[in-house]
Amino acid sequence: MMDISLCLKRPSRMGDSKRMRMTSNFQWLLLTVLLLYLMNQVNSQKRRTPRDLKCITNNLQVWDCSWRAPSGAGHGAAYEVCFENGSHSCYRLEKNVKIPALLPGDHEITINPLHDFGSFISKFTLNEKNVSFIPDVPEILDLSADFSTSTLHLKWNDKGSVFPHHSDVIWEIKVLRKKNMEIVKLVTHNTTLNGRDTIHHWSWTSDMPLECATHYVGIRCYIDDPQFSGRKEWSDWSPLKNISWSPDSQTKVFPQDRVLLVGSDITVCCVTQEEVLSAQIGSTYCPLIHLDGKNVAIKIRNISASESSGTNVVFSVEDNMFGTVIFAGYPPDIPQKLNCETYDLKEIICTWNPGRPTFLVGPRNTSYTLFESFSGKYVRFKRVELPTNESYQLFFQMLPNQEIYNFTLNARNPLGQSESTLLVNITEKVHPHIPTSIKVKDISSTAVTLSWHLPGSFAKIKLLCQIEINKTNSVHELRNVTMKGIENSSYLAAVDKLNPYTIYTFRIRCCTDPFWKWSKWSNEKQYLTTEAIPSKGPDTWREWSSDGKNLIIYWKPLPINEANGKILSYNVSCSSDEETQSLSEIPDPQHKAEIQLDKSDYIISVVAKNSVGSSPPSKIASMEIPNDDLKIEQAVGMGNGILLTWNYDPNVTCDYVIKWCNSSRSEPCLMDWKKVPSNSTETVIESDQFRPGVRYNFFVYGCRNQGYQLLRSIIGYVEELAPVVAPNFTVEDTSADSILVKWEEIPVEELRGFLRGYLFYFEKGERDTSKMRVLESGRSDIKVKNITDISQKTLRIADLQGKTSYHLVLRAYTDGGMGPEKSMFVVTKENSVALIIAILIPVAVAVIVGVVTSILCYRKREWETALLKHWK
Amino acid sequence: MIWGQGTHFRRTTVWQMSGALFSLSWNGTEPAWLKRWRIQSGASGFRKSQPGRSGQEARGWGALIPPPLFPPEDPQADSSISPLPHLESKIQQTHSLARLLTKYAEQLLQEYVQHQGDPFGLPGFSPPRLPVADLSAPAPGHAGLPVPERLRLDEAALAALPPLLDVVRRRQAELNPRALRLLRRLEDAARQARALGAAVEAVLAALGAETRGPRPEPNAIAAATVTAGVFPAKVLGLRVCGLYREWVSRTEADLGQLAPGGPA
Repeated sequence: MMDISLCLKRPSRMGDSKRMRMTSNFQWLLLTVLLLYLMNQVNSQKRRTPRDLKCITNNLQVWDCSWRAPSGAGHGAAYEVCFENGSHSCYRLEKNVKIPALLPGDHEITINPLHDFGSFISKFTLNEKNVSFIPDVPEILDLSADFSTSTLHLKWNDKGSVFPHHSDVIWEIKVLRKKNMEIVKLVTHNTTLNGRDTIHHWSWTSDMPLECATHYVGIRCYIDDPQFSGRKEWSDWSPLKNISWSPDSQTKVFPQDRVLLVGSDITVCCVTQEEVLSAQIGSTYCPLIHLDGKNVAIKIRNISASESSGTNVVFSVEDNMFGTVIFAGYPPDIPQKLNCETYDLKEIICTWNPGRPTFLVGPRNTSYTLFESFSGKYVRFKRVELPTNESYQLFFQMLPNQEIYNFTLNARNPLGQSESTLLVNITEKVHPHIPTSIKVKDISSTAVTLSWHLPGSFAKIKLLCQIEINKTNSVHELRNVTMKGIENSSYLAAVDKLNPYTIYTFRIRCCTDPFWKWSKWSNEKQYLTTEAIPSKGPDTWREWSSDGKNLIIYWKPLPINEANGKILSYNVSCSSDEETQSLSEIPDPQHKAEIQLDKSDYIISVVAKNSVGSSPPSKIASMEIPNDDLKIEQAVGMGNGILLTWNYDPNVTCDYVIKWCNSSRSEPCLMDWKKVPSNSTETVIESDQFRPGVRYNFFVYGCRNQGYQLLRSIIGYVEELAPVVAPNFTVEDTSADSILVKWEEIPVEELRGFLRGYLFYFEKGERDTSKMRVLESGRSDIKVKNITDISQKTLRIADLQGKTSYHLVLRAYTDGGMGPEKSMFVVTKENSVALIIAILIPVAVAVIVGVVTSILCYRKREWETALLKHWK
Repeated sequence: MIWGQGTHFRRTTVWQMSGALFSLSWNGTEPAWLKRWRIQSGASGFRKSQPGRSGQEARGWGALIPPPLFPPEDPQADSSISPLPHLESKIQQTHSLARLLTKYAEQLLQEYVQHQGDPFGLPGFSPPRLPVADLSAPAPGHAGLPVPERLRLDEAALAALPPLLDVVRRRQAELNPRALRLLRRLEDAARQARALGAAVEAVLAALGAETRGPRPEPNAIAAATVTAGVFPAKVLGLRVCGLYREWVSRTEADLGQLAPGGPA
């Protein structure tokens, strides 16, 4: 505080009082009384002088100094105030003085009460440090409210023009709620004074809708002038201004239809004149917060995502309900997988995935805007309710002569916005449409022109198209065609290296260079190439007729890849040195011709003809070179074919021909033939006509210059089967101890394989006994004979019992299995010697026993007689 | 859609609507209920329809019922053909339509509640019965009124419902754009209410009773029911669906009074 010095006009008696303290208690009492008296006198003097000089400033330019008036000074007492501030200045005034701000340092101020003769002059030393800087009370220019967003807007003037220096200012703003003035917000706001009056704004969003209760706002300030060394203090609070909602008579719930971020807190209130009984969010009841009057509020914390139609908040009064709906969701996610491409270089299609669901639909759904920064053009996504996992797409018309596009996709909903950008050279992002209108035109029998329509404006880029060529029973072939893009969308490509008279299926897909994506494959287009002359003559063979007078010429139809068209007819000619015989225009289905020839050496020539021309002649010599050293061999195949081998023969210069036929057929027998190169020593003969269990004859011919020579004759089966019949057998002879059996051969057709032997079973047994029916080699009472000598046709079974019935069974077998059995019963003849012996022996025994008995009886009688005589 | 009509008393009428097929048949003798009604109401006979009336009826049935349902009645028609079977047919058919729509209205209400979120549909949830423009619930004394008067009230309510249902559908299209079944049911309900109203009007005309006066403009009704908030809109929708169910059910009951076999 101020350093105050009193100019005392009377001497002090303080030293006497100190001496009196050393006396008795009484003296102490006297001293105390005296002290009190003296102090009273001093105070009395003080009261009679101006004192407690205080100076404050509001603007740092003027100090407002005041003091306490001397006691007894009447109201309206005048003073002379003098101070030194470079010059001596004196003011005559009543109570306080406004003086210009003094320079830093001590200044003496003299305050002399005028017209009061009992008063004293006061001198004060005044320094800036003793001055308090208390800014003026701020004035609120305006307080307004945006009820829809529950936001208060405060506006005030900093009156900066008053202050000489730039200073920092701290504004303290308080917001109070309800009639009992609960402070809900106390906030500081920093600004700077810049020598001019400046309007400041401050906004605050209430957690409670402003309609729910009256809100009050006050403001004060603190100016931090760096050059002022005195004490700086807060200004007083401004008068409060308030915002209140004027309710009509209807009960209302606030906020109405608010969109919120999931997880937020929100206060919902019901402004009503009725008693609110309960409040609930969805199905959950909430505690009521009582506001002014009968208004109530509920606090909802950490709200979860709403369903499509929002989250209902309902307040119930006695006979009614009031509510609001909250839409809790998310701001739009950053659009994901943004991709822009074009099908035709006319229109860009941008697709994206919306990402995390916002849980907001209808008018609150995310709206998208696709903005292209180079052109400044944009397109908006028309709101449609897509399933959340579906991708969105927007079309953007391409601009002439612009290849680089800088897209920004902006997603916006009531909770916020996000964006995704994409810089794209659209000529590198061409995903062509599917080629259409595929057409094929002939160039030749082996080349065609393909044309197709590919919509798009590809004049400035290259196209790469792939042509898939499919041929029946052939692998797919892909051919790449690079072509310059054109404006009119029609494209042509030549496809060569095709086969004549062949059905091809073409389809096309295209991409651009540089590659981005293939188009889808076009529809297939089937086309038959035109015919060409047959490339080869037919595969030809010849056979002499059984009487040896006619030569039968056989040829095979040409395969489609050699016929090169539809074969219409054949020409056959037989030429010798002397003559030539021809058979012309043998229509196609016929593949055989017979010509009467003598045994001379002829060259037979066969030519196939189609609509375009004739094939090269296929030639074969008629002569057959005899072979005396020929054996018939056997061979068994592998089920679907048969492997035939032969030794290499250097004399065979043309080729080998293997012909085969069913062995049961009569001569000339020819089912088919096969030609193999002359350097081969084996081949597998396969034919769909082969059947298991059927015997075939195979003949291997070697071709020499003069003709063909039969090298090997083979009988064989592609697969052996078991015989279908049992051999017929008869009993040729029967004795008392043996049976002679004889059987017949099984015909080849029924044998169904090479005969490997017979099995003969026999046992004792009568006809029609069950035991007889089963003859198995495992049984000990059954005797088996395996006859592996297939030339054997009889069997004598010996060591049998006479006049005994035997069961005989015979079956044949091949490598394909055991054939069925054939059985018969045979009774052996009676053995006569044994019978005689059987009769004679018992008779002889009986005779001998009788004789012996008679002898013994005779002897006994004689002994008894002699004994009797002796006794007597 | 098939709607056949004969002129003999013993007949079968078959018609199909919204996938349902009905077959109605009855003996053509004048039922006792009709005699009683004629005595009570003082109706001495059946008026011929006014020229052009049938066209209005046909329009009223809209897409649901084709014109052959109510062929123009020729004043010069053979007087030996009794109008009674025609009336019976109309009543029977309209009653059957009302019965079907009662079932649909119940389904609509359930579907509607299902899509509004809690506490809609929870036990104890009784939202305010908002006043709806030009339409109120059937009065408690409705059943005590004479049948023609009841049908007049039914017909007036059914005429007021379609614009309200349209308002509800539009609001639900914003709130539940993916609830396609609900939106379809609301659309169907508006059409069906219109059809049933026209059918009731036709029955009234056939009975010789006067029909109601001028209808309020649909736009005026819709404008009067526009609500500011979503919650009131949901409650309004619930109310409209409830009113639709009540009036269709009421109409079914009232027609049941006239239908053969119904209470006297």
